[in-house]
Amino acid sequence: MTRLHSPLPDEVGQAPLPSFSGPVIGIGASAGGLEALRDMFAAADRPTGMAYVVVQHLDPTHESMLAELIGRGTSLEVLQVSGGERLAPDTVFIIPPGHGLALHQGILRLTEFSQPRGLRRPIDDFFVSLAQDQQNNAACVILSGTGSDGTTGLRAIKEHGGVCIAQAPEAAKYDGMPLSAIGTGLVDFVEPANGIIGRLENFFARRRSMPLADTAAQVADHIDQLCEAIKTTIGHDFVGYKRSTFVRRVERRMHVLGITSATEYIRQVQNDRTECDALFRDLLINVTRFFRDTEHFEQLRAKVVEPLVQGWSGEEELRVWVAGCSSGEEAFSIAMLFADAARRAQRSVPTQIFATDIDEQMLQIAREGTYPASSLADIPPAMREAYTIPQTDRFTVVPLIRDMVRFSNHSLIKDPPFSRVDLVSCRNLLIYFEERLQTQVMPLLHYALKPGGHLFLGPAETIGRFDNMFRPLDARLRLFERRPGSPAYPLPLPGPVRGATAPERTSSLLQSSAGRAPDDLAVRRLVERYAPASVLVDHDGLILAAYGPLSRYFDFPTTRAGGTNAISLARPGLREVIGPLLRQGRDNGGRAIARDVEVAGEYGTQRVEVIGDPLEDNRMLVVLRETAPFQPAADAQLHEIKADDGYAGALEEELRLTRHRLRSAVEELETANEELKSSNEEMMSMNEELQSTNEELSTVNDELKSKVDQLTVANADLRNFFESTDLAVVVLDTQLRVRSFTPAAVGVFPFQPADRGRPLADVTSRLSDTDYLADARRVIATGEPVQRRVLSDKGARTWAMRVLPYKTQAGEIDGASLVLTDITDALSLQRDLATEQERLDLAIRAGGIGVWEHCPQTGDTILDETGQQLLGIANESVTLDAVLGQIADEEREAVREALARAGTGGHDFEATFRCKPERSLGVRWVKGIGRLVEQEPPRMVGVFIDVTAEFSLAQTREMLLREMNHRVKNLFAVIAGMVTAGGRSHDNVRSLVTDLRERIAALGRAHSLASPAGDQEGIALAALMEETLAPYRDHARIEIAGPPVDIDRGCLSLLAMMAHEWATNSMKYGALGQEDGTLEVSWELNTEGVLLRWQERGKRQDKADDRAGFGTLLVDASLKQLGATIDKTMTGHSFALSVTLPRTVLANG
Amino acid sequence: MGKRALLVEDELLIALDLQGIIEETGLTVDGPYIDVAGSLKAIGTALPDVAVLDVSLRGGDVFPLADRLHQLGVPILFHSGHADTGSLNRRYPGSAVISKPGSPAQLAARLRELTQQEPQGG
Repeated sequence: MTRLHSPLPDEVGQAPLPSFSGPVIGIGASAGGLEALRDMFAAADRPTGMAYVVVQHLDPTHESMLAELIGRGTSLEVLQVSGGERLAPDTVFIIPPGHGLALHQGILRLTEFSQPRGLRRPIDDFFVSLAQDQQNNAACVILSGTGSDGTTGLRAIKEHGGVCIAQAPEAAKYDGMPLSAIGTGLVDFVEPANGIIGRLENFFARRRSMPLADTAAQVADHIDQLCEAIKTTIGHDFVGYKRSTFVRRVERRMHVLGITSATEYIRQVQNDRTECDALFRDLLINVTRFFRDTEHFEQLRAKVVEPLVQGWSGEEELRVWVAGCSSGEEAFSIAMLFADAARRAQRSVPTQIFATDIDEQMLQIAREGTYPASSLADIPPAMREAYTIPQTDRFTVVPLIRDMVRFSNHSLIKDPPFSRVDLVSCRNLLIYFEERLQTQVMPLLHYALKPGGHLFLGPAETIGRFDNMFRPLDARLRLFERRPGSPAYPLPLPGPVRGATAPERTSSLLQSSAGRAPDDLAVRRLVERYAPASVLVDHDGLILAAYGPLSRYFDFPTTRAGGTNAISLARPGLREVIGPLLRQGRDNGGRAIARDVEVAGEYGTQRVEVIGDPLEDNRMLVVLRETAPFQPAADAQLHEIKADDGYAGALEEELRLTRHRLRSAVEELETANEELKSSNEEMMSMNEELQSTNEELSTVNDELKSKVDQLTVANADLRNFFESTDLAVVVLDTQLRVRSFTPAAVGVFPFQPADRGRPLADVTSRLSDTDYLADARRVIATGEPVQRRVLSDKGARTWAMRVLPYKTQAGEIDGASLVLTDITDALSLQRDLATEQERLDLAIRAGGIGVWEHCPQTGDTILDETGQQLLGIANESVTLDAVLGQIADEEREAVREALARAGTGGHDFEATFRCKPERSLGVRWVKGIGRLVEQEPPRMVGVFIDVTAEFSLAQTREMLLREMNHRVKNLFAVIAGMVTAGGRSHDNVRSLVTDLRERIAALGRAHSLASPAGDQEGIALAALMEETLAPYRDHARIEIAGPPVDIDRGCLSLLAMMAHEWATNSMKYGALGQEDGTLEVSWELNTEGVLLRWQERGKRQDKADDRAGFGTLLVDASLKQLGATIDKTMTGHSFALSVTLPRTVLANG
Repeated sequence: MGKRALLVEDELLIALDLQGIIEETGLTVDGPYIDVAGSLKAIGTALPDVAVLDVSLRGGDVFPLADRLHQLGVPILFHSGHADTGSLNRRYPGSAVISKPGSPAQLAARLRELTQQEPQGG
């Protein structure tokens, strides 16, 4: 039978409520839990109004992804607890790895495990704190997992009025935990994972709608029927139980089942064994603690335990009975007190503690002797150290203590009590019993105790009316001493309750009671004092009751080992008689008598008559009447009597011995069985540990599977990146050993695949130095990246090397990465670009090209230095108006328009304009070209080119062309003139043509002397003469001589025509027409100018026609035009012309 | 007394040619002169009825002379390689311009036109 010690839920002043007051659901899961949790939460529809806390067995060394994995499939908020979270509705709080969880005033706290892995029971621990914090507002859910974590916790939940759900074992991946939970009989619902939240919602909704008071009244009316039903089905009678407690527990069951009518529930209990069991379990629920009520235990130690130990006689072992031991804490507490007292007294006192209960589940827990570490706090420190073995989150009681306690299933009411006990502890049990039941129990305890033994009750219990049996040692602390005396009615007690059919037992006249009628007292006194010694036996000889002084005739054992058989208890002499008497009574039904029976006691012999008087119900009263005075013993007499035993005596003795052996054998078997049980328990606990480890592994495995999937993808990505990248990457560990490298890295470090793991220093490299090792070391030490350029050993390649710290997920530096980028090409490109740029700059500078940028939107214009010079602007950045202001008025508007047009896109800007940058430069012609760059905002980029030089060149060319045109026209006019003049002096067309041809040729030759460019100032007179006379060279000797004289080119044709005329005349009439004629042309400079002489030698004919011909006219006009004078002399064969040319004919004259 | 034409032309053969053409129209030729200075001296003594002028002369353009003649109301016939007729007409309204080499008939016709006009005062 179990006891309940803590205040009941609705009696408790609730702790200050947190902001969240809805139901709080604790969920325990282990192996296979991920799947179950997913299913469970996937079925949740917001709002559920409940808060959820998931305690899953997790590998403490790995990050948990549970929150993430569950969060994907549910509409509820899911978060991993980091400590300090306040409960909130529709939120799932997930335990983090490596910590336990506890709930305190609605706030979640992380706890540290003190037990090694495998022994931790985080689900139990959390459920206990949940139950204490939330009382009947708590619910617990036990999902898939192996082992039994959660089973103890759910008891706490139930004790505080909460509700418990287990996942349906057949639907769970691992059914260990659900089965263990269901095995307690305390689970209210068994549901598949996806039905759990719905069930919880229903339950709490129902409870809200069904006020407790209504049902309580109903139940109270039907208690007797319920008790009867339980008694019929289970065999335990709860009639004597406290009604209020009983009603409360029944009520809860009704809520669970959703039954509103008490009669309906009674029907359920009567017809459904399962419900009956469930109610039975619920009625027994409780949790106890080590050294509960410290002060009481202290008194127990001081007033009972220590005196017992110190006063131990050294003969019998000390016997203690803990009735209603529940999960064993109290039994162990008392064991520790005894052990501690013995230790202090420095003596070894054998102590046997019988701990009994009717709840086999609780006894299992008690036998394990393993408790949550949180209970350690209840044990005084000295004992804690001496008598517990701490593990991670639990501790076990040392074998020394465990061996002191023997747990057994035993009902205080139903089963015979222990006897000769030194101390009975029966705490918090009587409070469940009503008066009537208490009156049955107290005498029983009195019987069990040795004279002077002690009774230890719970704080709320009293001995009631039985102060004749117990004397308060300390009434306040519920410590009582058995009053001496009344040892005379030890045996009637177990009988009446055994079997369900002895209600009349209470009317037995032998029942001890201080409140009996006076007649009873008288009869009692008569029986005690004056009646002959008698025993009431059943047909087998079992003693049912005993009256009068029996010690002379029966030998009562100190233990119950011998049973209460009258034959075996009877002393020699009597023993041989009782058997036949019984048989006689059984067979004949009449009274029988055996006379002159000598009973041999320890101190002598008593002669008696033994009368067997059978009663109606198969029982027999055996009355011993003394027929002679007591004869003190003498050794010799023993033999005499023995001689009288006869054959029947020998048989009886043999039978007795045989029975005794049988009993010993049975006892031995029981002992062996007990040992086996305890080994089995150990095996179970080992198994439990293994299972729990297995669970964690399985959870880790689930998570790892997901992780591996993700890693596989990430790894494939990474591998592809490694293989495809041109980056040379080498990853080093902290010892500078190669961890991995990309294929591109082989170009720098000629790695072989086997080089992974080798120190990088052992691998040759193509680099010119090995400073990269120092870099890597520094990066590993400081975490600061290093970046620099490295060259290949021959200097042909350049790499940009970056050394970065290699960081683990936790952010610790675990090596370094060398990243090398081949920048040789880039560098060469950069150099080329720089060269190109330089060249371009040079070209722009050399070409006097100004570069400008213009923003059409704002009008802002930027000019480079050359541009500024060209425009005569002193600032780099100016407005458009400032630029236009520098442009000549004539072109300004045109430029503005062209710019605007180009600014809208489509056309490039092109304009040529004048501007006046500086006085010294004069007006410059500038050509501007620009193009719109499509960007935001649009910008126009262009150049200014100084085209002043080109402009003046073009002007010169134009002038030259005009001049040339003029000259050509002039030439045409000259020829026209020659034709007109020729026409006047020639009658013959042929001669006219010849004449004209010659003149034109002569003019042509003269013109050939003038340079085609036309800028030649002077023509050498000698050359003129040579050229003019060249056609006549083969006709006569011609000599041309004179100092160098340059003739103005304007006089060229005049002189040439004159010389041509003279030469033509000479051919016709003078020296050039003669075989031996000579011509001498000479000149000299004088003050007036040039004196030209034309000297012919040779025969000269007279002209046939002396009229002034065209030639003469020409010569005269020419002379006139030149302002020259001529002197002609002719003497014999010599003809001389002497011409004085004024200085004006000279090129520089 | 016959009318007189001032001829200014620095190219001898052209001058001779023009002289012939002018004389055939019945005018007396004063010249040919080859430069502005000589021409100015000549008109200082006697004002011609018409002037036949080359524009581009050695020693400078004929414009100072032309300005003077225009001022004095002497009709001018420009015989020039520079066929800038527009600007000459603008500068000397009433003058005639013939591009070198001009056709003798055209020259004669223009001369006649110019000489039949009343001399303009100025």
